This record gives sequence, structure tokens and C-alpha cells, in this order.
Amino acid sequence: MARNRDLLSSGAGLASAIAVEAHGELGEDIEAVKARGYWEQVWLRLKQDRVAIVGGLFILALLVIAFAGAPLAAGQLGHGPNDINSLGGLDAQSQLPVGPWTKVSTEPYPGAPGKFEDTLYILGADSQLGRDMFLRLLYGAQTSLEVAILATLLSVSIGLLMGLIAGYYRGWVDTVVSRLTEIVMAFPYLLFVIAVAATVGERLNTITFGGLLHPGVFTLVMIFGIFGWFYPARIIRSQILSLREKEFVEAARMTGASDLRIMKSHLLPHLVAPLIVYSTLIVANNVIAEAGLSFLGLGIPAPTASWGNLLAEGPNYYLTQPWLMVWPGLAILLTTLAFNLLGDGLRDAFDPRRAH
Amino acid sequence: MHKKLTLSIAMAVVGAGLLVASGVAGTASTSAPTKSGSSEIKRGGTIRINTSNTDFEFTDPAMNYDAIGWQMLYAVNSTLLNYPDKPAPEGSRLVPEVAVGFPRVSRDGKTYTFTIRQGLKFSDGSPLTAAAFKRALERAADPKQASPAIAFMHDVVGADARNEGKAGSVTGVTAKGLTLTIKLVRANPTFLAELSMPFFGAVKPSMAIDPKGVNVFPSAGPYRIVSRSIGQSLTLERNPFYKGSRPANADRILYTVNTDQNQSLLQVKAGQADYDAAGVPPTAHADLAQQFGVKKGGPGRYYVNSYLGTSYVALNNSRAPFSQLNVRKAANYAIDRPALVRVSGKFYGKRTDQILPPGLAGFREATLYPIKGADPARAKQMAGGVDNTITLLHTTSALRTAQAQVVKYNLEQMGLKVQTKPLPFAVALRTVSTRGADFDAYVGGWVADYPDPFDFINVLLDGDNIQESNNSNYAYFNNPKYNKQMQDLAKLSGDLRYAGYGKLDIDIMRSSAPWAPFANPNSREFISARVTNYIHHPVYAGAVINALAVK
Repeated sequence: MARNRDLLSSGAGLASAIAVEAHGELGEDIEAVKARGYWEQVWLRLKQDRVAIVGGLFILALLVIAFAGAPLAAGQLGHGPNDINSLGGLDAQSQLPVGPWTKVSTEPYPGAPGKFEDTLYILGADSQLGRDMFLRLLYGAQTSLEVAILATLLSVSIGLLMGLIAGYYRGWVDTVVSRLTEIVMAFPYLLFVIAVAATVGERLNTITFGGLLHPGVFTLVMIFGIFGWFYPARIIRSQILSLREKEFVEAARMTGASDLRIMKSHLLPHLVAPLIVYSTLIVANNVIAEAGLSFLGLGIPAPTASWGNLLAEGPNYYLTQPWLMVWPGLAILLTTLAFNLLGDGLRDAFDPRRAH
Repeated sequence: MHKKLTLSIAMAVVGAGLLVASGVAGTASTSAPTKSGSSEIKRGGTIRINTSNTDFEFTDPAMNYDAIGWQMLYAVNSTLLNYPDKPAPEGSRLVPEVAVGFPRVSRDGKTYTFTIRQGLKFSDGSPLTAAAFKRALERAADPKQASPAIAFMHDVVGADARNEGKAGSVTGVTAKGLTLTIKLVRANPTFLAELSMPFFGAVKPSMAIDPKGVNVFPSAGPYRIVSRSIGQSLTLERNPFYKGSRPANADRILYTVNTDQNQSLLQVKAGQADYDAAGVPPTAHADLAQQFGVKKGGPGRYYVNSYLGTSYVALNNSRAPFSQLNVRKAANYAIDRPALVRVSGKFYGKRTDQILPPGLAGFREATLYPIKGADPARAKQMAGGVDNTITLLHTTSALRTAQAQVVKYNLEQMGLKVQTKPLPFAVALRTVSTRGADFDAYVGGWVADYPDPFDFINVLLDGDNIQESNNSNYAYFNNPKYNKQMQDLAKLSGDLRYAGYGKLDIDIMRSSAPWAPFANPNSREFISARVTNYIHHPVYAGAVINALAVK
């Protein structure tokens, strides 16, 4: 019976209770059904959603390619993403960027002394500067993902804190936080971005934490973080308003648990699911927002590659080299799709009402 | 009910009739096919011009000093002598415009007397007399106006004293009825060319002194400015009081400013706009040439013409690191001139390492810095471990943005850390022309105001001309030895003058390297299918907009 007690106390819920009952009735020779933990059940449900799994695998692959593959590819190809090659990278006749899969000379000028190896431009050149589009796309993934993920962490953290405080304390605290949320929501975000770019943008862009981040990433992370916390805050607040009335919170309070302990140990675990789901969706939004601002010239400064910067070059060549819009456009599309699909899958997986 | 319905129908018919009538009347008034000059060129209609990525810095003739502004002012202004609305070579030879003829010049070459044509009027109907030109010169010398034109007035008696606030007027200029007399402190062989610049076009004697520039003012040229909405548009209309022989084919010329260059190209292709004064994206030239052929003038759509100009990186000599000669020279070894030409698109021009453009009197070809490609190793060695962070300013045009990226890449190869700062054209000009502004290098270009080396060497590099704002010496180069040489050469004429300037060009670049010059560009222009009569002006390096006509 010790085994059965363990099962019951494991908190596996109705399934384990039925198993215990059945065990008693069906006799000792029938092996007990092992109860599944909460996370195991989530994983089982998620596993069944193949589309979400593909989305997750794509994101994993993208992270590996961006952060490990890009430097490797640069090493193999023998040039960097910002290396200008206007001689080999441009077609001699039209003086426009060479197309995909072109062997490109690295000779700095015709007849330059020395021996210069050819290099391969897998996706062609990016612009009049003749830089390697393939490498810029990979390094652009680093920048775009840095912005998207870090900004999401910041906005979700602020949102969590604000929502938790507002929902838990209610009263004037809730009023202040809610009004602040509304003010931030109503703030003309794009005008603020333009103002930041025109004033302190240059200085902020130089903050890279010793080269850990690409130039301009910090600025965008701060902007997206400051203007992206209100949705998570509202979701968390409504969850907390409901949770704080539950018996387990009342019980904790009766045992003398402090507010901080209740929030940390009893409320936070219930917020993990919505936070994870919402984060994946915010990441997708941030990828698009980075691309949009860089496209407008307000985001990542040149020559740092980002998908938005690469996309911004595209319209110059839409008639002659349309693929220059396709590569970054495709990268943005697939990445946002992957994050959205994973987010949808996680939302379903965290929903206990959904049978697996 | 029936009566009401009948009445409504009747009113609708009357209304429709009035609309049709007004439409017909409107059409008739704007595009009546009255012929002017050539029998094939129609008068009437509206020419729509975009100026991508920028607005006019000023429309005031005393203040504007850029190619887009002068192209517009050429249509609006009227000067004593002017360049005809014709291609080279006639277009670069001065002829009398408001003056009856060439001036009477005293034997010592120091007094010029002009007689103004009788019966000329400003666009508001007021008479044009010699006082109009006196006012233009007074405004240019007024210290409150802070006009860049003062660089061309040092030889006028009393101009410097007025500019320094020591005199109430320019004592060397007197206007009496239709007679204008200008006294010079010394004979100046280029004085007539200088006086023909848009700075000194006729303005009403009552035109105010305003350092921000007057936006709309009566003028005496073929067109007049009727409205300006800063950041949005500028409208010119034919001057109803203009009696000269210069063309004014369209009824109206409508500028839309700050357009997107790619969108603008599409508009011109589709005939929704007729011309972009700020040019075509560098990536479009190969395609345009293939599609429309390359012309110099006459019927066509895409035109490539050479002009007297130099594209260069102005190195700010007034602050570190470019206050050091070795770093400036290193920059000249570092920049990749062929790459700068290539990234600028097809037909951009020829690479150079000199200040004066070929074709200008006095130009002497020399090999000063690597012109076939950069020499980053030598540049780094010459720079001596300099690792400052510098600000590289450029305009937001696709052309200058691409060039700035190459310059950034090149300067970083020699050890500098470069932050690029793109600004709209007018803002960039205002910044670099202000002494002490926060920049270390500027990617820009210069188009000759008139065909003389003075306009490159003295105007762009004479340190004695540096003032608080509206400077043209973007490198803030101020070398007393060279200042004196420039000023001495300005007094000479003939072969001695041109040989001297040719030598000085080489000396300055070899010994002091205030710039990193990289190209002598071409003018590359594209017009819509609905306009005709394209004339490339050899001095103003662009289309003569008052000659453009709706087909």
C-alpha cells in the first residue's frame, strides 16, 4: 500500500486514483499503471501535435545554424558577412549584385598583386556592396533572434511583475498598475521609436556588452520590452485575480505564509503555462517588429546584418534581382510561422481538458 | 413628389453640364496648345517633379547653395548675365540677361557698370531696376543673413566691412535707376561668372533679411514661386510679367519633396511624375539604359552627361583624428575608389584622387594615391595605430548610403571605428556647413558653380572663408600658407592663373590631403514619357526644368 500512497500523493489526479481503485479490485497480479507527472502529460500532448513539433525543431535548428553555423560557414568560405566585394560581387556588365550560386573573385581590383582564391556566393550578393547574402542571412538570424528573444524575456518579466502585483494586491495598487498599462498601450510607440532613433539612438546602439550583442540590439530590446509588457501584464493579472481566491492560497495564508512566499511558491507555478505560450507568440511578433523597424531605417544600424536590413535592400532590386527580397522574407515568414505553430501547440498541450 | 423628382433631375443635368463646362474651360486654360520657340514644343500643363529623400534647404537665393536648389532657382531667377538654356558648349557661355549687354569695365578692371533693360518687372508687377541687384548683394553681405555667398564677395569694395558689421552697407555697390555700378578692390577675372550665380539674382529692394531664408518672394525669371509647404511641396507658376526670351513651357511646375527614390522611379516610369531632381537609385541605371537607351539630349528618356564635379570624402581637419596629416593621407590610401564608383551604379563616372575635375581649365593629371584600388596595409601603417571612433556623415540617398558603407569599411581597415550617420540632404548640408558640428568625415560632392578652379580650390578650401554657419569648406581646412596661395592665384588671369591652380590642386592633395576625393561623376537623369525637350545644363548639371514641356 505504500506504493499506492505514493501514487496518490504524487498529485497525478484522477487517472492515478482510478488506477488504485482498479488495482484493488482486479487483484495483485495486475501491474499498477504508472501515474504521469504534469510535465510528462504536457509533453505527451505536445508530441501528438506534429505541426508544433516541426515548428519547435525548426526553431532549434535555426538557433544552431545562426549561432554555431554562421561562424563556421564564414570560416569555410573565407570571408565575413560585412566584407565588401564590389568587384566580384557585382556583375561586370550590369554592375548589379550577382545571383545565387556564383563563384566570386576576391581580387580587390583587376591585376592586383598576389594570388586570390575564388569564393562561392551561395545566395548571391546582397546589394551594390557585393556582400555575401548567405552569410548575411545567417548573421541576420543571430541579430533578429537576439532582439526577439531578449525583448520577449524583458517584456514578459515586466508584465509578470506588474500583473502579479496588480492581481494579488488589488485596490489602489491594481488601479495604478492598470492605468499605467493603459497609458503605455495608448502611447504612440512608433513616434517614440523615431524620437529615440533621432536623439539617443546612436549612443544606445553602441551598447553591446563587450560584443555580446550586435550593435542596435540593446536599443530594440529596450523599446520592445518597454512597449510590450502590457499584454502579458493583463493576462497575468486576470489569472492572479482568479487564483488568489482559491482554497490553496487561503490555506497557505492560514499557515502564515508571507505574500512573497505565496506569490513565489503557490501562484507562479500556475502561470508557467500561459507565460510559455504567450512568450512564443511575442517572439514571433518581435521578429516581425525588428524587421519592420530595420526596414524603416530605425532598427539595426548598417552594416550589421538583420533580416529587416536585408529586406530593406530588396525594393532596390525588385525588378532585376527579386530573390533579394525572397531570402529574408522567407526567413521571417518561416520563423514567425514556426514560433506561432509552437505557441499554438503549447497552448493545446498545457490545456488538461485536451485528451491525448 | 413628382415635381420634386423632376426638379432634382433638372438640377442634376444642370450640375453635370456645369461640371463638364468647367472641366473643358479648365483644360483649355491650362493646356492650350499655343506654341513657343520650337514648333513642336507645346506650352501648358503641369510638370511634376520629385525631390527624393530631401526638401530644399532654402528657396531664398541668398541662402540656397545646392544643386537641386540652383536648378529650381535657374527657372525662377533673373541675373545680370546668365547661361543660356542650352546644352554645352553654348550653355556654359555667359550672355546678358537682365543687363542690356556686357558691362562697361574700367581700364584697371576694378569698376563694372551695368545697364538694366527697360520695362522689366517682377512677378508681382513691380518694376525691376538696378536696386534689385544692389539688394541681392547687400543681403549676401549682411552678417545677419549669414549667406554662403560672402565667399564670392571679398573683392567687392565694402563687402567684408559690411559682413564684419563695420559698415551699414556695401559701399562699392551703387544703384541709380537702371544703372548699377560695382567697384572691386582688385581686378577679378571671374567676377562676371561669380555675379551670375543665383545668389545675386534680382530681388525686390524690400526683400527682408532672414537667416532662415525667405520661402516665397517675387522674382523676375520665367517662373515664380507661388507656394512652399516645408517638407511637402513647392509650386512654381509661369511668371505673368516675364518678358525675356527664356523658355517657360509648362504652366506650372509642382515639386513634391521627400519622396522615396524607388517609388519615384516607378512614378516617372508610369508618367505619374515627370522627373526626380534627386536622381535615380544607383541600381536602376543599367536597366534604364537597356530599356530606353542612353542619350545626351534630344528625344529620349534616359540621359547621361558629364559635368564639372568631384565626389569626395571631406575629412574634418579641425578635430582628431583627421587633424593629423598622417591620418588624412592614410585615409587616401584606405579608400577603395573603384569600389566607390562601382557601388554607385552604371555610368557613375571616373575615379579620381584630385580636387579639380578633368575638363576644368588648369587641371593637370597626377598620380597621388592608389586609384586602381585601396591599399589598406599601407593605410594602416601610415595611420600609426590610430583607433578613434569617428562619425561619418552622409545623406540618406541610396547613392551616398552605399558609398558611406564602402568608406566605413575602408576606414575601419586602417584601424578607425566608424559610426555612420545618415541625414536627409538638407539637414546633412546644414550640419556639415556649421562650424564645430559633430562629425569627422562627410561623403558628398561638389558641382562647379561656374567653370573656374577658384570655385573648387578657394570656395571649398580657403580657411579664411570659414564662418559660423553656411560654410562650403566641409573639411574645415585652414592652412595659412595655402590660403595665401589661393588668394594670390585668384588675382591672376590667363594661363598663369590656370597653371597655378593646377599645381596647387596637386600640392594640396599631396602635402595636406584635406579630402579623400574619389570620383568625377556624371549626371544620370530619367524623364517620363509625357514630357519632352530635355536639355542638360552644363553648369547646373541637371535638366533645365523651365524648358521641359508636356507633350
